[in-house]
Amino acid sequence: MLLAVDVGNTHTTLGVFRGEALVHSWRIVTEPARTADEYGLLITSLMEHAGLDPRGLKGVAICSVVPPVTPTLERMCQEYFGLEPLTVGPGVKTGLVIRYDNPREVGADRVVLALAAYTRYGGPTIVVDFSYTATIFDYISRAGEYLGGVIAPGVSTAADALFQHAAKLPRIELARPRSVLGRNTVACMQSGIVFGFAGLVDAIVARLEEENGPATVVATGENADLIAPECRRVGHVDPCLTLDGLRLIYERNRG
Amino acid sequence: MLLALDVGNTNVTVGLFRGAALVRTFRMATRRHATADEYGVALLRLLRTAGPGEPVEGVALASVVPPLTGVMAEVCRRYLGAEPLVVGSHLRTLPGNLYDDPQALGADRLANAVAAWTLYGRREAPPSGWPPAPAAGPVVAVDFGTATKLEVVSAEGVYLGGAIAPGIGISIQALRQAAARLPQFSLRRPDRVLGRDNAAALRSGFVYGFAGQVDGLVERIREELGAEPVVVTTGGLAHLVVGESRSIQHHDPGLTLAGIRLIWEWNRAAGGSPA
Repeated sequence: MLLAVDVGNTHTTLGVFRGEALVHSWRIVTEPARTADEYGLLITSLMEHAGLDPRGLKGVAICSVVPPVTPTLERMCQEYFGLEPLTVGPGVKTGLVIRYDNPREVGADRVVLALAAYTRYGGPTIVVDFSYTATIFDYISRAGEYLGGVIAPGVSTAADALFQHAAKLPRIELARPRSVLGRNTVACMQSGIVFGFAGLVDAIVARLEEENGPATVVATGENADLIAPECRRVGHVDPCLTLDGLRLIYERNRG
Repeated sequence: MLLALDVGNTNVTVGLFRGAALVRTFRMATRRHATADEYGVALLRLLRTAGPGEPVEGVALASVVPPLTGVMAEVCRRYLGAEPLVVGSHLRTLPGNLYDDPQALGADRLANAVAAWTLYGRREAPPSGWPPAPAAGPVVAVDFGTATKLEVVSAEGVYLGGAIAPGIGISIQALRQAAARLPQFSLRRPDRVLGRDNAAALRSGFVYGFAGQVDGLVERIREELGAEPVVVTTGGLAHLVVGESRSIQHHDPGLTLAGIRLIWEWNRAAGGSPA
């Protein structure tokens, strides 16, 4: 089995693969202060709870946009699983040409996503990652080159900011409201968040396609299931694309 | 002259009206714990900069910050010698209101809805008196403030509902706090949509994204109403989006204050005159 770990700014997603099949996935809070021991115990417990034997792990692949967490996870892999993890970064073969002015600026998670999307859907493809913190658009060309992207606020982060700043607004459940016309505070916020973000995504996708050519549009990330169904320009929803990308990169580098 | 006060989450906006004409606007920061004395003295200082002018004959106040509503009313009594008209649904405002609890609709949103329908609704002649004559079609008011707030009013002047979306300013702040590795970026028209560095990617995301946010909401409003609405925007951050949006027709920085003025005029007998 392979453990894939995607460390995001707010949440960390983990998945276990048996061959190409994702057998289970989990999501935990990203906490830079969390120790290797805590990670070790947490991941071992999560696996056992899902009926998976941690001793069956043969490899670990990590991508991270939170630098302090990476060495902690690497230490955990060695101490708890006796494994040297593959960490996506400079030197790791992805097979992807990155046409960014400074390729190192592209977060490891976007490289991983781009590879997974291109492998599964070909190109040109636009990936829309609805992560907690940011809504990130990546454009991959017909030849599989990463051409660039767009970064907008994340659905959850923006919704949190709304509750924190406005005196009279309560914290609400993020769900699709019955109508765009809200007749109470909660319905108004759900409308603004859900339909507003759908509009944001549709507008950016439309402009990317006008400028760079039509593309397959794939949505992923933890808020994909909430917003993507309301988007008029998203063709596929694939919530665990990053984990799949990590599996592909692992196979490419470790065989 | 009429003094209109719009107490928002970020700013207190003060407008001086001579009839229907907004002659001066001032802005102060909203400080939840500020006292009537602090705001009173500041307000008097600001009014002095407007020159001798005519006396203030009335004050109207719309507030979305509950602790400051009473504070501002006290400011009006002690420093301006006037009992303010406090904007609320109990007054003469729109002919109809379909909000589940009309009292829960924020005073600023009500003022925006009133101003948008009365001043921008398509009519053959400008409306006068209360209630204004029906317009030819529905109206949407969009306020780009701390939150981006939309209000939808029917041709007949019935408040149909609205939306509250995360605002531009707080979204930028939230993203920067949550993702510290992202660079600073300037909000100006991007050179191209596809960013080849993170600053360009962020610029595209914000400029096109927030235009798309309002366009997407207006599109769905259009579909649900089965009619083409007039769209008027206001709010400190509107200029960033107005140029890129495909649905905005009018931009009126004084929309909320105009709505407060209209509500005051329709309710003059009810209050807001010198004590």
